[in-house]
Amino acid sequence: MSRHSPTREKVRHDLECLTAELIGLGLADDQNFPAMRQVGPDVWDVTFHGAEAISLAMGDIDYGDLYQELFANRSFCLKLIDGGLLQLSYRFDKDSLVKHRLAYYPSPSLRPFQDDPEVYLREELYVDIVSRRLVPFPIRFDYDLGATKDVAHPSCHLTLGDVEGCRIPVHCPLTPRQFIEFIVRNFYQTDKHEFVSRFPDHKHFFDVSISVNEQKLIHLNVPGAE
Amino acid sequence: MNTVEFTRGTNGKPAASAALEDCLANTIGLDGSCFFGYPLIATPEGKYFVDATFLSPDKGVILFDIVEGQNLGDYADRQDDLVNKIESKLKLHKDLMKGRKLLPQLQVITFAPSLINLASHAQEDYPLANEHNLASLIESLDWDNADDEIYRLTTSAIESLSSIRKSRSKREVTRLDSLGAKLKKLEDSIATLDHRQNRAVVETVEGVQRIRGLAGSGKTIVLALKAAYLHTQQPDWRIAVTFNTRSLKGQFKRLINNFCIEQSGEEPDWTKLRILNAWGAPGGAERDGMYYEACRQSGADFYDFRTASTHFGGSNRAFDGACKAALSKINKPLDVYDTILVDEAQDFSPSFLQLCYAMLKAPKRLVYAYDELQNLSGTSLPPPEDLFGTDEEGNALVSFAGGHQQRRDVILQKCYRNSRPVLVTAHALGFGVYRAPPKMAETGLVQMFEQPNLWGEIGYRVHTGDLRKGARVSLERTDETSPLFLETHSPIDELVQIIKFNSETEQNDWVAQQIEKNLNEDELRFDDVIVINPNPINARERCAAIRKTLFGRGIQSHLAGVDTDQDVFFRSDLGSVTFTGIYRAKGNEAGMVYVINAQECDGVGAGLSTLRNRLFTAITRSKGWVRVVGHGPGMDALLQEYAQLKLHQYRLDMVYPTDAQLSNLRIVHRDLSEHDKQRLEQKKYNAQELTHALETGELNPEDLDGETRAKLLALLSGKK
Repeated sequence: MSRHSPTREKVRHDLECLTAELIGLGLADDQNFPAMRQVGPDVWDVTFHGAEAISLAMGDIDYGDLYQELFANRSFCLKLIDGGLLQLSYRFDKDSLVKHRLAYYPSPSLRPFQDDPEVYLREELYVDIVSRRLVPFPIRFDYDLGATKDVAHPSCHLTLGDVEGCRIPVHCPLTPRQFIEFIVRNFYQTDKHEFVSRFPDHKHFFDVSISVNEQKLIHLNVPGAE
Repeated sequence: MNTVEFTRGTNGKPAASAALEDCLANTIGLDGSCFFGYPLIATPEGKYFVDATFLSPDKGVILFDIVEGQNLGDYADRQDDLVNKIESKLKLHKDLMKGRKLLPQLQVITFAPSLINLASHAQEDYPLANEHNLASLIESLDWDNADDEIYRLTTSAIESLSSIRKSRSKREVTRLDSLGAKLKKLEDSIATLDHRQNRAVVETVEGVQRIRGLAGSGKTIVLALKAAYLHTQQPDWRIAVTFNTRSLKGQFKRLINNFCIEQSGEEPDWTKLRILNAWGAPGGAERDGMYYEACRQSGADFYDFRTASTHFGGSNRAFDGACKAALSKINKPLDVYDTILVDEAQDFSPSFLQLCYAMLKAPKRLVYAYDELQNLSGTSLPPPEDLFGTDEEGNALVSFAGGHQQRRDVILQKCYRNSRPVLVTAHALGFGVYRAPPKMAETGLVQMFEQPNLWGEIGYRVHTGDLRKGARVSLERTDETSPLFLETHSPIDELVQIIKFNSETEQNDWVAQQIEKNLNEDELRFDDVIVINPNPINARERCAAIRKTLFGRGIQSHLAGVDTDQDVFFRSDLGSVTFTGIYRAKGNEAGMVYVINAQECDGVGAGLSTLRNRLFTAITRSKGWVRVVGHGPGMDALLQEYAQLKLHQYRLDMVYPTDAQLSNLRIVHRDLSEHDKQRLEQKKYNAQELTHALETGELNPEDLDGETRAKLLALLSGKK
């Protein structure tokens, strides 16, 4: 581990600052406090308050039902302006990261924010009256040292739409700052609405985890990591 | 002189009930109150209701078993059953008991108006009556220990629909004088309906019924219970309850479910009794709505919010346009529902009510609840004669004039939510009663009821002066219409506070700090606090800073936003403070209300009545305390108006506008579309430019032609 590696406390703090920032920007409608809890002798989880009550394994259910389940149980770190849910959880063994699961679940029945930002920003009672069929899909960045297999299962990968075989290699695990910027920049910013510049600075990065073989495939680069 | 007051619920025996009403109304010397189809009780055998219940200070309680037609059946058995059941219900009220004896006297009569030869059917000790002998039969009944107090308690027991307003969850208080303790006391005191409310619940007319009332007079509860009552009595009817603010959905569901279980022991059949959004969209029962259903039934094109906005313009015009488009495709009534109940009708355009009307089977039972002052969109509903159109001969299809007017047009005048100081503050600011007249205006009033006597109907009485147009009048609320217990718990200066801060940051810091205190010291729960930003355009942005501060202090909050399938406004189970704009605040209430950035509710000219209505709606969300806060010059006006109100001892002292002034007010403070607003701004700008040019000498008065100059002079000095 390099001296830049974040400790679990840094990650929790990072998540807390970003949550506050998204509330202040008016992007977050609801949220849970970030929490750290010990799950084994040396094992710690950094996630949100109430996460322990929720089983993340939803198996084979319809996306609309899945979203509804998460929504109703308030199983999220943040609920965004258009109903998009963010879940972030990290697992540390002592102070080294062994796992993360960073997920974005857009609402299956609301139009994405970027389609009509003005309507979302003002109070409009009928925003939820939508007839168009939407094609929302969840986005997930997983990191799991225990399950890693070179190329077949990159230690850190991006999964689109919960498709089982979809594991796009990622350069390194993502900090809360990196993940939330990725989501906000791609799904919430528009020409007229800029949010990321008000984010706090990157305070830390994780070490590179991609293998030499995986780098030969199409993969996501992550700036900042060493 | 007799004074029997009738409350006409349904019991499935209309002809015989009418005969009974006729008899009782014409029996000399009789007074009391009579309920048809009421009370409704749950028994081990299922739901059970009394055909008619007559309460009299001299006779006690007379229960009627009504027989329509010739077949009497085993009426003695029915009479025994009836008395036993009601007796067991009344015996639950401890103050009606002495030892094990029920104090009010219970009598029972079987009334069979079609039966001629009573004697051949009558059994001993089981009174049987028709129109001829009813009066003498009642005459012969005596309540030996008649007692006015017991009569009053009995009436209230019969009328009480218990556990309706019980708070969402149990309240834990340790200090007797904390705000939480005071709120608990308030909640315990307003557990039952009053007579008028009860009557509005039970009576439904065969046609259109309007329920008007102040904020906090219980319109939503009355509608919910009415739906539940009708559903229980007529399980086969298709009934819809609809509304504008989706945060009301949960409230309706809870009220209706509670009532049905309490009164009939059965859960409602949600396929028959539907709670629907006004608009609706494809995607299952949860997302269904009145308009969407009308489209499905008629084959009209469905517009969602975005397509409707594109076609008809944004906000209110979108839904209005969509409804009109659907109406134009509907040639004959759709006959989908037996009864439709519409809450917050003032926020809908006429087209939506017309659409509901078109979806009804004859006799078109449409019930709409309505509060003129809470109209946030600036479009007011026309009177029913204009609203529902005319038949082929030009006669209005719906009119409240004449005959049973009182039943068709119900006014709830008691306010159970807001204390007198809170309500009068809301009215004073909403109407601009103490607003300083702008230059060259005759009155500072922002708006006023067309009909002065409406003030009486909503529970005000004349303190001094004359309640008529053009005259000076001072109006006050009575102890009857604004019960004292709502205000005596706290000094007035604690009930209402209007505070100006130097900046938004200062305001926000204060609000955050107060909320923290409310939760930590005052024993208020998270769901006792609600923060409202009256301007819907920037509510999200304005609430953000306070929410961020609270988050930093470990206090959870949420913004009432687009909740798709969940209709959650308050999160009592979670511990989270509600922040909201004005639209989503409607229909909800809380102990402590913070109205932030209230400076935006002052202004001049166009749109002012909408701004003041928002302030009115925000203030009237409070069932305990309200803090109206803001910054900047706009707050000075509100502070000054409030100071005047205080000086006038919370009375509304004003010169009632004349007809000419009233119509002028409507024009001056009318609502403008975005486009019109821009044009108006442009014109104002032109006027400024002209003034500037004249000032600098760029333009000389002589440069204008004589006629224009003369016209300008005349117009600016107020002559037309």
